[in-house]
Amino acid sequence: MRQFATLLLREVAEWRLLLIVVGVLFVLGLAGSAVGINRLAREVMKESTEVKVKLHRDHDIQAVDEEDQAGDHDVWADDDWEFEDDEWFSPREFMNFGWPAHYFLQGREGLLLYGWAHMLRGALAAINLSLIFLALFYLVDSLYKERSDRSTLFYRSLPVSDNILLLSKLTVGTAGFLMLSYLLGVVWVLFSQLVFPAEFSRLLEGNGFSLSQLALWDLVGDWFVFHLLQFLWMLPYALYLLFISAIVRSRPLLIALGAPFLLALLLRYSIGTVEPIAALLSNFDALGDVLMGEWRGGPPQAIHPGETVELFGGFGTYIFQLRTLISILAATGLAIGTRLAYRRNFSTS
Amino acid sequence: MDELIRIDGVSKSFGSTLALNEISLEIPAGRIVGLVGPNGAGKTTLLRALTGEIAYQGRIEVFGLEPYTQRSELMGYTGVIHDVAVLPPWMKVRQVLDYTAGVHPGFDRGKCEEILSHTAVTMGKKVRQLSKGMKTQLHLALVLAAETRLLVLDEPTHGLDILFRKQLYTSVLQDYYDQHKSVIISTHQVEEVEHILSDVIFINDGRVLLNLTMDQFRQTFAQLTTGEEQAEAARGLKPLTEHELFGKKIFLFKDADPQTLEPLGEVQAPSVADVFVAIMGGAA
Repeated sequence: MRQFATLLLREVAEWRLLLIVVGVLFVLGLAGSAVGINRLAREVMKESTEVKVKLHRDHDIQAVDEEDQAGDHDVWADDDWEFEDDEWFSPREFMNFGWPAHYFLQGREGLLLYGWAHMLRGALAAINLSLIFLALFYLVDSLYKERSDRSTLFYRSLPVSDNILLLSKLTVGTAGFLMLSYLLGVVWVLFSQLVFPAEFSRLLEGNGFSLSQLALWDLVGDWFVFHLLQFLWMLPYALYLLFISAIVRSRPLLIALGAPFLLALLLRYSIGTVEPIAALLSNFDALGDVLMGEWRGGPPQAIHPGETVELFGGFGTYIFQLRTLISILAATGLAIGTRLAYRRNFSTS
Repeated sequence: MDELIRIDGVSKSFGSTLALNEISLEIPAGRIVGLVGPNGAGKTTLLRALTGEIAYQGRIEVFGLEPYTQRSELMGYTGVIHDVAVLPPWMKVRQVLDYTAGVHPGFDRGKCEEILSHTAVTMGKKVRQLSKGMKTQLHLALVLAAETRLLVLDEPTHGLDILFRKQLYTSVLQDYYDQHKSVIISTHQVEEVEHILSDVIFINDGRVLLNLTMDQFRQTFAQLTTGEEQAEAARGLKPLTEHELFGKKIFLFKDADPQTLEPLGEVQAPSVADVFVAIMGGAA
């Protein structure tokens, strides 16, 4: 265990620059969010009554008495509603995300709440995808780097098994980055609570809505489950990158990304279709389904006071699929290949 | 005799190049063995096979372990210094010590720091900032401070100046070697290690040409220095080599009777380098 911890620390020390960059970007992101949220809050408070009047006048929809609106939360805009240029940073556009406006406009405060939920979700997605992107660079370079500077000979001259050495790299490249993604996500959720202006909360609460409807602690739990599943689905990709890192003589990133395209081109010009490679890759796209499907959460539903806004769907259903099993089998094969390739210690150019 | 290493019919090919050709050796414990051969002779390949870094055909046992499949166990008893700088260049010296202490149960950090205190290597420097000699000093300090029983040095003085080279071998003798520990030194600068060796192995083209203890070596080879008048008689005894220096004829004999040689001139034990040149010349 001490050996494994030392190996993990070595990886962290070697790639500390990457971590520093992540940390700096995250702090900048938090600062930017704080500024954005405060501007948003100011705008909301300034426009607290004009928005509804303006909407009603411009689009000739049924006038809704402002006093009544706060009480029953009827829909009061239609699909043709568009934003004007001078409202670019208004909360309405900020929270729309391309869906028809009437989904949101069950009441001004409901709209704010849903927009807030999307902003949280979008930020979490950005954190996660950014770290997965960085993990790609780490995984494809980690074994290649120690082969090219020959430090692999030093590591092998110490009583550490190849399995533990490789496991440490795989752990950092998958669980390490995912753990960081999870922790940064939780920090982001907590931070967003801190910077959410008190007036903003009062506006919601004064109209029967509450920030607690976002079920933020459920989000933290869902976020954790998502990362567990993501770890599983990442394994074939991570081990493919490690395998490439263990065998190539040069340019591991180019080869890792270029090889599938080259294979597709070969198929396209030899048998006229890329269907075989597409069919193969479809076994490993559960991660994409989650990111593109569950993450968007489907069309927004009407929000009513007291109801909980689900930020994510259920990730658990994705695990009971044939392709999950195929992913695990592929990961096992790639792990064996990587182990053998690492043992051979191929030279670099 | 307590056998440390047993090599039986070991071969290794790289493509069409046969680097090791049916090598068989037995090396007892408590020896300092010089593995001597020209560049490309197969020294590094043999040492990498011994330390489990490469696969091979045949059978090798070190401490009763099979190096390729039991490398990590073997490295618990073995220290290795390669012919090239292999310490991670991004690490600081302190981190190298931290790492080694974290993965090597027999590593004595205090001893390593004590050894390094006599050098110019400082804890806060990165490996890439060290000179080649300092990198070797650091690596040597690491292996000397680990509780190992076999030290494998593959061309350890390659690229070092004479001061570093002398320091290195002095350290090996003073800080490491005792009757329970063994050292295998690969080199083609044989004159530098000759005085510390207990055994010598000549290797060329992947084959062992000579494997003797230094006592056997001195009994086997003799060098005769004589004048022109005795040269013909010396030639009649079939010397390995003959050359002329400052007007004297120098002959190198293998398995010659000293009593036969002594009447012909001055008989001395030849240096390992002289025998190496003679045998390699013959092999070529």
